[in-house]
Amino acid sequence: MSVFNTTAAVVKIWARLQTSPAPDARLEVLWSANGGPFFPDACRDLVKQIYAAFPGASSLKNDLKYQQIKDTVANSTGNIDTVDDLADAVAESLTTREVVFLTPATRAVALPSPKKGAAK
Amino acid sequence: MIQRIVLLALLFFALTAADIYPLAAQCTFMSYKVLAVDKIGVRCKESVANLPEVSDRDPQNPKTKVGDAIITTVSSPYVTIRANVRLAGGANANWLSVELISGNKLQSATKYSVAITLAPSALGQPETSIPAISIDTTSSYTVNPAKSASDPILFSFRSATVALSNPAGKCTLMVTTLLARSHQVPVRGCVLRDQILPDDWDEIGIVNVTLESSPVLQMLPDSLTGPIDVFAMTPTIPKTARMSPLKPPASKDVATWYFNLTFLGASGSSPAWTLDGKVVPRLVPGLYGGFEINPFVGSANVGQGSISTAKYTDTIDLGSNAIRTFEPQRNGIDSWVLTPGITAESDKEFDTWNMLGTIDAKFNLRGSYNPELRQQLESLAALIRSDPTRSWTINDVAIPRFGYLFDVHTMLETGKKVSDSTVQNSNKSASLTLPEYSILRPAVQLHGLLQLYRVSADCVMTGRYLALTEDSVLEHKDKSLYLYKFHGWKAYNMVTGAYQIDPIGHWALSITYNNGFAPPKYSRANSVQVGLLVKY
Repeated sequence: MSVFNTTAAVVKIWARLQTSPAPDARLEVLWSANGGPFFPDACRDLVKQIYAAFPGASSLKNDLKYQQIKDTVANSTGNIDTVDDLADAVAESLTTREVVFLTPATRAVALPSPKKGAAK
Repeated sequence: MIQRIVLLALLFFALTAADIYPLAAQCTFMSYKVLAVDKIGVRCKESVANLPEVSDRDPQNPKTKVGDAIITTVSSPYVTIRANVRLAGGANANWLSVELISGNKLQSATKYSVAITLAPSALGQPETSIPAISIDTTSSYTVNPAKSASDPILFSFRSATVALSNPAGKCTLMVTTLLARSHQVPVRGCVLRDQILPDDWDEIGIVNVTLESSPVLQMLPDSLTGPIDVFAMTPTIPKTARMSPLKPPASKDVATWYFNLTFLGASGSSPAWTLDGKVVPRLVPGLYGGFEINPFVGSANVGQGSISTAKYTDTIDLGSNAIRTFEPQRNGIDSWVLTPGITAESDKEFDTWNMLGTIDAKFNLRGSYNPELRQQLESLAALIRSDPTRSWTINDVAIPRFGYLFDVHTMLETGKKVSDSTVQNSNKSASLTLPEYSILRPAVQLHGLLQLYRVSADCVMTGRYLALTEDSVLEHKDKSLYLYKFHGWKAYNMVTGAYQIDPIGHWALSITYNNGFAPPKYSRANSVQVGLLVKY
């Protein structure tokens, strides 16, 4: 699966959606049918599930934080607003830190196979 | 007259045809990428992996396709090229591949219009057309700071339209700043994303550029040489592109540093102030077992004042904690947040130190989270479901008149005061020994919010039961010191009324009432604070 498809699969489970979310769907809107605050509580849970979907990618833990997810009021300066934004942040982490900071041997272990993916 | 009749007939036919053959939303166009000189990728909002395939009837190249496309140049000389539309396959469920009939090639820096017709979804059904897509093979970058905001040295250069390669394996970035004309910036790494994540069409045409150091000033990128597009051209950078230092978060929940300074005043008294502050440096990245780890958490509610009945809690907490969210969605609980931690509790004078182990469990009960914004977003989600092709915004939904939320914390604070200490009065003329004592405080905190249009009332009530007697030295008006013993229930209550000046709530007038007893001093707080709240 692609990074976007894996991310969309995680968002679908997290927000308890019937269908896969559109790329431009806002995370805050997708969450609105569920109980409890979107930020920070649900955002923390979403990031936890993203980590689980990309096992071995240590760059995600270094780069992707729930504090980056945008909430209209509680975190209006967050720069991850849509499903596409989240997938982009994941891809950005996977393709930069590992490459720049790790050796090729470590990189091969750390990066998930794009074909296998890891979404359950 | 004849012209009118013909026009009316055409209009009638168009309306009837639209009614008989409605365009199914098989692919709502989102974006495109020129993948090769004879291949274009079209990204759809929906997954297109299940579109019906038909044979393309080419004996030389017996493949299946999902439709046909006609590509035309939009300016002279007018050229028309036929293409097959196939599924992108593999991981790219949202992509269609528009492949030019063999021998045809796209030209660089040329504008095209692509009309795609998809095969019937079932026997007897009509073909469906996607509105014509405008394509420009001129390659240029958009420049964005990293979405992984913790890395202010990373920028993505995105050639939204044309695939890239980097035969030299390195790149050179030239920028202009306020202080220097076009000059080279040291680059640590320059990575094409699709080299690391191949077969993922979302990552095609994006270069991650990692600088050696974070930009201090805003930079105007002039050129990025090294990567070239499928036409062997170097993408240009528009003059509007910027590489800026990151904006800091403004919310108290997210901020590493948060300070809220409030002034109090009354006739016949000198000015007083209170400080509500928080420091939480993000020292441990990621989550561990789902827990966010904060090795250092500092908070303070202190001040200085001469208004006899208006006081702050005089509490300084230093410690560390871990936070995890659980989303059970059962037993009447939507979600709950567990926060174990250790805290050193003191006051402004630092003459009392309590070492505590703490556990805080916050419960969001089913149906108890219904603020106006959530209702608005839920209505927005319903609108999006009803018509996904339209761009809905929160402004399309009326602000609900009534909203509320309610959550419950259960807490436990246990530990002991660190050794005997000497407490001095404010003018240092007297002192008293505060003995060591043990601490066991189960507590309940109720938090409620009521919203009526733009007016809101937020109430936090904390009830602590002091199972073991705690001591405190308090100063009277005549500067004399007294040793007080506290046992049993001690409550602390804070009510904040606010009037939102703008619809989203970035600006608000607020009035806060504090009343009760808070550890470690348990001096009576009873104050009213008026202020302007700004949240961005």
